Amino acid sequence: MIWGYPSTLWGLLLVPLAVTAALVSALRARKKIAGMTRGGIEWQVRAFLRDFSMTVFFILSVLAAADPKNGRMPVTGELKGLDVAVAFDVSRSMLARDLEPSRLEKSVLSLRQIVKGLDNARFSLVPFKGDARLLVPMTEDRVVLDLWMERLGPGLSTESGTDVESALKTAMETFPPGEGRNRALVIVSDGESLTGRTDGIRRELAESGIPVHVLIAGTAEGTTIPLGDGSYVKDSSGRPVVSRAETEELKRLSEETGGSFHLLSRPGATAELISAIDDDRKFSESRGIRFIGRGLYRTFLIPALFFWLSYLIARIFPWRRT
Amino acid sequence: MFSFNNPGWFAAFLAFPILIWVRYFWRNRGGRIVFPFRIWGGDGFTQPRTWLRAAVFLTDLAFWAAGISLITALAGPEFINREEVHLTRGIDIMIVLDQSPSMAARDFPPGNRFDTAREMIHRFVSGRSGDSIGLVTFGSEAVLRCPPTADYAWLLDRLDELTIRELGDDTAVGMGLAVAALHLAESTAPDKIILLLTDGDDNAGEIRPDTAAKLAAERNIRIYSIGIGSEGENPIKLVDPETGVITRGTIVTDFDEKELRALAEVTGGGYWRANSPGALETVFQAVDSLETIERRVSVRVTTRPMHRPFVIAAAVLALFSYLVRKLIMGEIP
Repeated sequence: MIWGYPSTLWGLLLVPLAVTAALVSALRARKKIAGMTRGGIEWQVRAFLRDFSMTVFFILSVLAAADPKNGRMPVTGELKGLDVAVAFDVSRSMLARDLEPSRLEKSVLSLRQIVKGLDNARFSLVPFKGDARLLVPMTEDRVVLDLWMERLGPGLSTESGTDVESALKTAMETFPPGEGRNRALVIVSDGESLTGRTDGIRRELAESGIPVHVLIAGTAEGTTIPLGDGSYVKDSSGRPVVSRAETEELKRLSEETGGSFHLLSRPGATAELISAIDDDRKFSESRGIRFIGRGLYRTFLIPALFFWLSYLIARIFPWRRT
Repeated sequence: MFSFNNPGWFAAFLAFPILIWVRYFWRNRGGRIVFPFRIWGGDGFTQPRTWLRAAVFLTDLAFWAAGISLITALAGPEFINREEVHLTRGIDIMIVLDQSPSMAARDFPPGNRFDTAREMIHRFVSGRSGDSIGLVTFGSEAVLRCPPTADYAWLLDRLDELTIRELGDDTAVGMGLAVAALHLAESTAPDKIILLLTDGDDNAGEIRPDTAAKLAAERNIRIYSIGIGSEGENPIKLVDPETGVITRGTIVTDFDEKELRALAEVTGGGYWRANSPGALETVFQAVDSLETIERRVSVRVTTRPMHRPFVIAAAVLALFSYLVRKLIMGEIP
């Protein structure tokens, strides 16, 4: 299960407050009505039912508000053709050579295969580092794409860092409005030291039916980052920095948007990515159906309604006939 | 448009009058204390008019509002956006614009030829939809400014960045056409056209305009050429793009209409002469009306779920009611 608003789950920290309130109230009640109830336990049963109902109601409401999602559901709509926005990491860690000849060069090679493999598709190209900028707008022009793919590298930006939020936003904006085409977003990155909050853009992509296909360049073991003059990137203590591919954030991104996740270190990763995008397009074109994330909030909200009612009924129910 | 994807849940509101009656008016409801009076001449028991009465009302209201929010959320509120989308592949248009110094001639009041052409391109692009439009400019050399794209905002931004003379003082018409043809060559569009705007003869570059036109014709690309400028001597004001130095003078426009006409004819396009802003606008309108194709349009529906604020409201209101009653009002179950 995937949570659209995982930070909402912090609301569960209020549950102990509700439980404390229930306990305090029960202690007070015991003193106040001890002499009135002649040892009856119906008020205790009622108290337990009401406190339990409210606590469970609150827990279920918080879970529903966190917007749980599971799987994808079909929506109809005729779409023809394919637009692919590519967000390409050009941070310095992409110079690491744990992939042959380097993460950057292997990624560019892979991108060329993607462009070649998805014929008739249009592409846009957004290199990102500490910022992201549109280099090539959505176009079918392979000549200009080839030209810029050759120039991808850390020199394209002076901003340090790897701002994935900015990359996703910029890439998403490259889909021209008013175009009835299938859309996919490809992000090529080593996933290391990603900055920016992706919650909002992730939801926007999922709601718009834009799957994010992730290609991770690098290995978990990692390696040092060469500077080109025989030296390596060093930390503040003078030791060479070891750059490792990090997969968690981007894997989650692909899962939540209904995309796919691939490790460039594995053989056939690029072909699998091409196949994932192309299969989606073919399915959409032949059936007139595309998929968006399926919300599960009702699964939590229906029992929440039941417990809201039980809280009310526990009060109304005539526990003792008068 | 605001809508609900499962409005059947609103039927649950039918139970509310019963629940309210049972909660507040039913004789046998729980939580009541019945006094067996025989003879009583005093007032009945009423809640004192204090903060407690207000708190009871407020917490009751919060509790019922939580129920209303909960049911509204279950009904699936959402914003529906319907967007008209093109299913047909539009045509590809490559605008080839002269950036040579003569385009600074001020015979297109209130501006010069270049600014007027730029304004007309803005209007032309804004009037198209579903087509891919690109931009090539030329002076002594030719440069692709924007590949054919439906991202018109990006295209127009690139157009607005242009300044006269930044590509040198010559007029490489042939190079401009060749660059445009190169970038249109592999396009899968049903129609491909080049829109050439120039005010001078080709005098630079390694490719002659007629050679470039043949290349275009071989790739089924039509050329529409537009000769800009009025005849005779015209005032000119030039700004050096590097130093900012302003030069004023006069210029005599002279371009080979026969050549521009031939470029158009060999590719099956057309030629126009525009010697005023009004004439240029008419030419663009003519090109616009010539290049139309039958389009299939569909409606893309996207929805933005809005249940979350209602769920949060339900949780907060119910918890507020519960905590106030338990901790502040000292409610006994």
